[in-house]
Amino acid sequence: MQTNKNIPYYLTAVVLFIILKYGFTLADNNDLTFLLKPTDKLVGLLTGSQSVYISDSGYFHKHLNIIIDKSCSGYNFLILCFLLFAYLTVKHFDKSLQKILTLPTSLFVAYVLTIFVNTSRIFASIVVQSQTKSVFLNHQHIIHEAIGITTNLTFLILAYVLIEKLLTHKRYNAKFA
Amino acid sequence: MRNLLNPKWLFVINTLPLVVLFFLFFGQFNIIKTLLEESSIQLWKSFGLSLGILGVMNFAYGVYLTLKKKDVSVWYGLIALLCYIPFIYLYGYHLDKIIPFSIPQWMVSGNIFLYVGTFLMPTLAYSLFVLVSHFTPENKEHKAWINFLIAIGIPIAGYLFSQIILPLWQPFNRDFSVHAMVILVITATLVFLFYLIRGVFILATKKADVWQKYQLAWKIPIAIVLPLIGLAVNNGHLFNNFGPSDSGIFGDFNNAWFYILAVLNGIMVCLPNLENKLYRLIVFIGRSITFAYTLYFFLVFLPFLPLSVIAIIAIGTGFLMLTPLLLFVIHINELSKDFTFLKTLFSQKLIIAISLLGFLIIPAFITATYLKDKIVLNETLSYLYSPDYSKQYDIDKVSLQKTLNVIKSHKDHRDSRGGIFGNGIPYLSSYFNWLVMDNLTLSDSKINTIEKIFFGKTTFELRPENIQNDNVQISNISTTSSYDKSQKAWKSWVDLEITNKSGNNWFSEYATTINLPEGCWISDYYLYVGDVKEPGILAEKKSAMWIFSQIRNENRDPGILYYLTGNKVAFRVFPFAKDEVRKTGIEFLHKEPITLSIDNNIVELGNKEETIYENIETENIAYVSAQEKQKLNSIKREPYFHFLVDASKNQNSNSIELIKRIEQKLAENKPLSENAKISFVNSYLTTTTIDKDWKEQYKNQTFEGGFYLDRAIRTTLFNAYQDKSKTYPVIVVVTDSIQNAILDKDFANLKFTFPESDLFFNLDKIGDLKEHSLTENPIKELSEIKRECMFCETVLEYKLSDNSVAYLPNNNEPSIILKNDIFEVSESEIKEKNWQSALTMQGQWTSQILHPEISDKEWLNMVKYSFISKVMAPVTSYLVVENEAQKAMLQKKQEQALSGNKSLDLGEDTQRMSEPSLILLTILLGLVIWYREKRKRQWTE
Repeated sequence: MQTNKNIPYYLTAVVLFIILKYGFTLADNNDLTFLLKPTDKLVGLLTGSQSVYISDSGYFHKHLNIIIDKSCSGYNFLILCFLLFAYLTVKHFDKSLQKILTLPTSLFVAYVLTIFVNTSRIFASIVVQSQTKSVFLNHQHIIHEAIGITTNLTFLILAYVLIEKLLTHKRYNAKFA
Repeated sequence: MRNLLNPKWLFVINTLPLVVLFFLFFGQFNIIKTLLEESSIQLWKSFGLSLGILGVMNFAYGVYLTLKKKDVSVWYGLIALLCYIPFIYLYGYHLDKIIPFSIPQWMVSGNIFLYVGTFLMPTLAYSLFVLVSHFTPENKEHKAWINFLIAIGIPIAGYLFSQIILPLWQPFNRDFSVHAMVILVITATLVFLFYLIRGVFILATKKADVWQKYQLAWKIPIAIVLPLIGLAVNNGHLFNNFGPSDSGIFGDFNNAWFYILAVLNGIMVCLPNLENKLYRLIVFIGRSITFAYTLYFFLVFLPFLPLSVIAIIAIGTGFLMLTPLLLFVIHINELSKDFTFLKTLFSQKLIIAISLLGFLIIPAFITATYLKDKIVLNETLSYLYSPDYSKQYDIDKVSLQKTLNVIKSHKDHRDSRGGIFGNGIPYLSSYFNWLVMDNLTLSDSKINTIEKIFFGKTTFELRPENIQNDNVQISNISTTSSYDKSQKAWKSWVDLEITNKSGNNWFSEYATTINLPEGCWISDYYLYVGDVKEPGILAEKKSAMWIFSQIRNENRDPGILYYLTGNKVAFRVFPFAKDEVRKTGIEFLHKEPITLSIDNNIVELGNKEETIYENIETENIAYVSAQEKQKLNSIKREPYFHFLVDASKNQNSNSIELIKRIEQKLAENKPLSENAKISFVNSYLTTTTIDKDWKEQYKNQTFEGGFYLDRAIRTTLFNAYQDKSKTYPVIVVVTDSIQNAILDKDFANLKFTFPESDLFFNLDKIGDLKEHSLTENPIKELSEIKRECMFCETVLEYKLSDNSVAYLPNNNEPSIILKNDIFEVSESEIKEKNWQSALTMQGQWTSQILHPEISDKEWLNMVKYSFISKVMAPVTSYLVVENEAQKAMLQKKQEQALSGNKSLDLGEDTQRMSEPSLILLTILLGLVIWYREKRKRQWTE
C-alpha cells in the first residue's frame, strides 16, 4: 500500500519534470546562467582557459575552441537526476511532510551534482576529443556523445546506488535504534 | 600448443584485426574520397566488400565452432590461405589505383600501405599453424631437423633458381612472367614458413631434454646476438652496401636506447628460471618491462614475414628479419613459465597487475619524453611568434633539436627518400606526430628560423615567389574625393587602369606596395572581372592569402590587398594576358588631405579648404594633426649608444677583436658613451650597462646558436619606448657579418618607438658606423651620406590630457599616440566606414605590436572589428575572386564571424559541448534500475 500512497508524489515529480522540460525549450542562455556560469568557471579552472560570454552564443573558450551554451548546460541531467532522487527518497520516507520536503531537497542535490557531473563531462570530452581528433576526425560527434552518455550514466548510477545504500542504512539503523 | 586450435582464437587473429583495419581505412577513405576517380572508388568498394564478406564468414565460422565446441579444422587453414593471399596480392597489384599518386601525401596517413599486410598477417600465420598442427600428429615420431633442413633448402633452391634458371627464362609475355614469379615466391615463402614453424612446433611439443639443457646455446644468439646484428645491419654499421637510405631500411633505429634495450631484453630472456621466489619475481618484472620492446619489433616486422625468404635469397641477411618473430615466441614462453611458477606463490590478480604495470613502463617513459618535447616546442613557438618582451626565456635546446629532427624526418618521408617507413621510427613517429604536433607540421620557413636562432644553421633552401610584373604598369589613374562632414573625414576613390605591356604570352601579375600615411586606411576595393565590376570581399588575411595563391595557380582572376609591415600595403592583381587592360579601384579613408604614391604615380586626395582640422584624444589613443604638430615644441633628447654584440656560435674566437672595436667607438663619442648599454645577442638577449664589467661578461658568454638580431632590436626599441625618458638609444650592431644575422623583417610596425631617426648602425671592421634602415630592408647597407651633425635629430613634445609626454617625429605628417599599452575595445565603438573606428582599431593593433603575448587572445576581435567597420586591418585583407564557390566560402566565413555566433574561430568549427540525448540516457538508466531491482528481488526471494 506504500506504493499507492506514493503515487501522488511520483506524479507531482513527473509533472514537474515535464514542466521543467517544457520550460527548457523556451529558455535562452541568459536564463540558464545558474547552470552555465558555475560549469564554465569550473571548466576554466580545470583547463586554465578563459572564456568570453556572448549572450547569443554562450561561454566561448577561444583556446579550446569550444562553446558552452544552452545545449551543454546539463539541464537534461538535472531534471533526470531530480526525478531519480525524488523516486528514491519519496519511497523511503513515511510522513507526508517529509515526502513533500524531499522534492525541493532532491532538486537542490540534483543541482549540485549536475554542476559537478557536467564539468566532468566537458573536461573528459575536451581531453579525449583533442587526443582522438586525428584518428577519428569525422566521428567526433559519436565520440562526444559516447563520452557524454558514459559520464552522465555512470554518475547517475553511482548516485542512485549511494543514495539507496545511505537511505537503507539509515532506515535499518533507525529501526534498531 | 594444441590449445591454439580453440575457435576463440579466430576472433583474436581475424575478427579483431579486421575491425581495426576497417576503421582505419574508413577514416582514410572519408578524407580522400572526393579526390578519387570513379574507378578508384569502385576498387575501394570491391575490396572493402570482399574483405567484409571474408571477415563475416570467418566470424560466423568462429561462432559456429564455439557453439558446437569443436576445434578449428585443417580446411580452415587451407581455405584462409587460399582466400587471403590472393586478396593481399590483388591489393598490392591495385595499390596505385586505390591510393593514386595524385592524392597529396599529407592526406594519406603514415604507414597505410602496410596496414593490410600487418592486419592480415596474423590470419596467415595462424592458418599455417593449423596446417602444421594437422600434419604433425602427436602420436607419430617427427624429426625437427628434417623440417629445418627443408626450410633452409628453400632459400638455397631459390638462390640457385635465380642464378641458373632465371637467366634462361624466356617469357612470352611480360605480365605473365611477373605474375608467375610472384606466385612462385609466395608459394616458396609459404612452404618455407610451414617447415620452419613445423620444426619449432616439434621441438616445443617434444620438450627435448637436450634443448632444455643447452638452452643458452640457442637463446643467446636469438635473444642477444641476432637483435644486435639486426640493428647494426639496419643502421648501416654492417654490410652497408644495399641500404639506399641514411636512416636504416626499416626505420631510424640509431638511437642508443635501441641497443641498450636489446642487450637488457636479451639478458632478461636468457636468465635461468631458478626456483627462488624473490629472484623469480624480479626476473618476471624485468621480462614484463622489456616485453614492450620485443612486442614492438614483432609488430614492426610482422608485415615483412613473407618477404623474409626473398630477403634470404637476395641478400642472405634476410634471416635477421625472422629474429623478432622467434624472440617474441621465446619471450612469451618465458613469461608464461614465470607466470605458472609465481601463480603458486602469489595471487593471480597481483601477478597480472604487476606484469601489466611493468609492460607499461617503457611506453610511459616514451610518452613522458614526447610530452616534454611538446612543451619545449610550444615554448619555442611562443618565444618566436608571440613573445613577451619583458620576460626571460630559457628553452631546452637538446629537446628542441630532437623535436626538430623528428619533424624534419617526417617531411623527408613525404619525399620518399628514406626506407620503407621513411626516415622515422616505425609507429613511434606516428605517435610522436599525433601527440606532439597534433598531426600538423612546421613550415620550412619556420624550421629555418628556429634552427638559425637556436643552432645557427639552416636546412631548407627557400625559393622566393616568382612574380612577373616588370612590364605591367598603371596606364591611367583618376581620383574622386568626398568630405564626410558628420565624421569630419575624407573618403577618396582611386581608380586605376593597369596594362600588361610585356611582349610575351605568359600570364603576368601586377604587384606593388603602397605606403599609407598615418591616419589613412583602406575601406573598399573593386576589380573588373570581364565586364563585371566585382566588389572586394574583406576576409581574414591568412585564408584570403591562401585562396589567392590557390586561384593564382588556376589562372583565375583574383586581386588582393593586404598589409605587409607598418603602413605598407601590398597590392596584387592576376593574371594579365598580353596587352590586356584591367580596371580596379581602392577607397581610402583619411582625416586630412594626403599625397599618395602608387607605383611612382603621385595622387592628391582631398583638399585643405574643406577639411576641418582637429585633434582627437580618447581614453586610449590620441591623434595629432599635421597642422597641430607645427605648434609643438621641438626638443633634442639625449642619445646613448646601445651596442648589440654578436654572441652566436661563430663569434667565439673573435670576441677580443669586437671588444676593441667597441672601446674605440666609445672613446670617439664621449657624450653617447656615458649612459651606453650593451646587449650580448645569440638566441637570447642579455643586457648590461657600459659602466659594469661588460668585457668580462662578454667573454664569459656561452657562444652558441644564431645571432637573433631581430629580437634584440625589437626588445631594445620596446624597452626604450617603455622608459619614456628624455633619452633615446642609437643602436649599433657589432658583428663580423651582419648578413649572418637573423633579420628577415623590418621594424616599420614599431615606427612610433623611434621618432628621431629610422637608422641603426653596423660597426664594421675598420671601426666605421655603416647606416642601415629600420623601416626598409634592414639587412642592406645604405649608401654613405655626409651629415653635418650626427645624432642631432629633434622630436616634438606633446602633452597628453593626463600630463604625460609623448615624443613625435618632427615632420609634416599627422601622428598617432597610444596612451595605454593594453586596453579593451567594445563592439559598440566600431561603426561602418568610420574614421574614428579605424583609429581605435589602429590603437588595438599597435597594442598587439608592443605585446605579442596578447595577440592570440585579441586576434579574433581585430578580425571582427575589421569586418564590422569594413576597414582593412593588418589581420584582414581585401580580395576579389571570380569563382562563385570561393566567393561563397569567403562570405560564409565573414558571416560566421559577424553573426550572433561570434565565437566561431575562422579556421575551424567550434565544438559545442552539448549534453547527450535525454531519451537515450533515460532508457539506459531505466534499464539499469530495472536490472538492479530485478536482482534485488531475486536476492530477497
